[in-house]
Amino acid sequence: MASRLTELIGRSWRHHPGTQLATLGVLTATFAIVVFMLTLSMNFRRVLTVWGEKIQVAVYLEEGLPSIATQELKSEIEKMPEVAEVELISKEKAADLFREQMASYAPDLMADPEFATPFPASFNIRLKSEGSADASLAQIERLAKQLQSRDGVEDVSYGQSWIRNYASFLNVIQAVGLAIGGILMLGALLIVGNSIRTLVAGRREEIEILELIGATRNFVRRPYIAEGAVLTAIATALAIAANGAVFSWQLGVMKKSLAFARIANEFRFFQIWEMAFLVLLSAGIGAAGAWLTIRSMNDGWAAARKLAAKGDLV
Amino acid sequence: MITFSHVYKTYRGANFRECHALRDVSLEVEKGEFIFLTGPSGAGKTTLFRLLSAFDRPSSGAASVLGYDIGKLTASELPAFRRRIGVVFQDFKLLRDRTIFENVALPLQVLGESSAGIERRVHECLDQVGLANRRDDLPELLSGGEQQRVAIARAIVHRPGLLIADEPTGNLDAAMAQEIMALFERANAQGTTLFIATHDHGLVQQSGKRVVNIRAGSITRGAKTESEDQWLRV
Repeated sequence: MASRLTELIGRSWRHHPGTQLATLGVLTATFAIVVFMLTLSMNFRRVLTVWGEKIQVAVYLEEGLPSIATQELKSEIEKMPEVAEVELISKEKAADLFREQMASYAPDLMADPEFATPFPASFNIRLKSEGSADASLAQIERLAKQLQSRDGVEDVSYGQSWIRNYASFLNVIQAVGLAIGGILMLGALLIVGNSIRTLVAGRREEIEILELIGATRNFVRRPYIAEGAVLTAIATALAIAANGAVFSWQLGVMKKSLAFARIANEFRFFQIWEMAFLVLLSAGIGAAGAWLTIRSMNDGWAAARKLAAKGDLV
Repeated sequence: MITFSHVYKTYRGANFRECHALRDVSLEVEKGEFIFLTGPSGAGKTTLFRLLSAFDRPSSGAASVLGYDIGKLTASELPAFRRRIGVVFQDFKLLRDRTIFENVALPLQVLGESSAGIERRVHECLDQVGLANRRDDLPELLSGGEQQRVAIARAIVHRPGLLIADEPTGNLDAAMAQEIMALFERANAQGTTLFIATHDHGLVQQSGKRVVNIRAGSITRGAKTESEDQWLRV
């Protein structure tokens, strides 16, 4: 059976190379956009999740808060269920950290003996991971509200605006990606269907003859369905390869130009099993497209229909 | 084996006038018979063959072949019926992009035969029609007569219960026509019912087989003796 399918698919490539190449090209372009959207969406979400895990809530203390009150507040925060770790950053330590981080950007300023830290003492709170980015954001906001009302707390900061904007941006990207992906998948279904329709039109006589010698509907349909699956699987593999190449190149560029942000380390391409899943999924779409097309063209009476079309059968 | 009762096949022409390709055809054929169908061009021979092979359905009347009602064949019954018959079409209906071997092997592939079985049986049939040495050629490289022999090999390769042939010797010289007839005789001796349309009166007279004559879509007595005509019911 496998050799018959290989032989028939090979034959259609030999006899209709132009159609097959054009279909493969269009499908590859379609799936390249789908894979690109998936890559984009996956990495945005990944960055948010990874950053979400790294987000620390900074609790700035009131100027001159006594040491005992500071320690009491620290113990209270440590007991909170969502808190993983609390670190006290004294005024002096904050200044040291600032100098360390900014030394290469403003060496003169940092060397100035008169420079005084503008930062108050604070707690850096690391949270237990909630899993998804949205859950992390909700957890942070809940905690921040609680801490804000405590005595001795001047302000609570966790990058509210960017994290909220980023989450909204991510949601938009996902919605748009889903819509575009859906439209493109539907398009892929139609493209495969049209390609199979062209192949069927070119091999109408073969279908008639196969029917006339007693081939079952499945016997006739199988090669076309396999062809649809193989075409889309190859197109998806090519689309993944193309996206992978662009991804690697862009990652290299980002690593050089955005080295200080270390953002490039958070990005990744699909893993082998994810790629295999995408190829299988697209093969399924291809097979479905082919089946939808061929099922209306092969009902056992193809030859009679042709005759009827010629002679207006009563 | 074959029972036609008041069968009509009607087409509508370009001027919307109805044209009866078959008109009130009633016919009975027993298992194992060897029948020649004769008649002038346009008499309805090909239309009758199309109905016999379930290539097409009757417009009205009852047509039963091998126990199947041709007018009511369902999509799932159709392949099973067609696997039990062998048909030699007037235009051969060979696949142009397949070799002679592949064309003849098709009915066996459809039946799910093993590769070894297909190889053996196809070689046997090609040998019988004298084309074993052309097995790897494409049909377009063969003459009309040779293509007809390939079509015959394909029609008999799966040992059908009923063999229908439309002008199988039309493109053959006398010697080859005799060989093909001998091939049909052999198949008939093995139990296959044969229904052959031909213009070759010499061949028909020589064979002494039952003859069904068709004219203007209706079955007539034709050139058969009275005693042989007992089979024919008009």
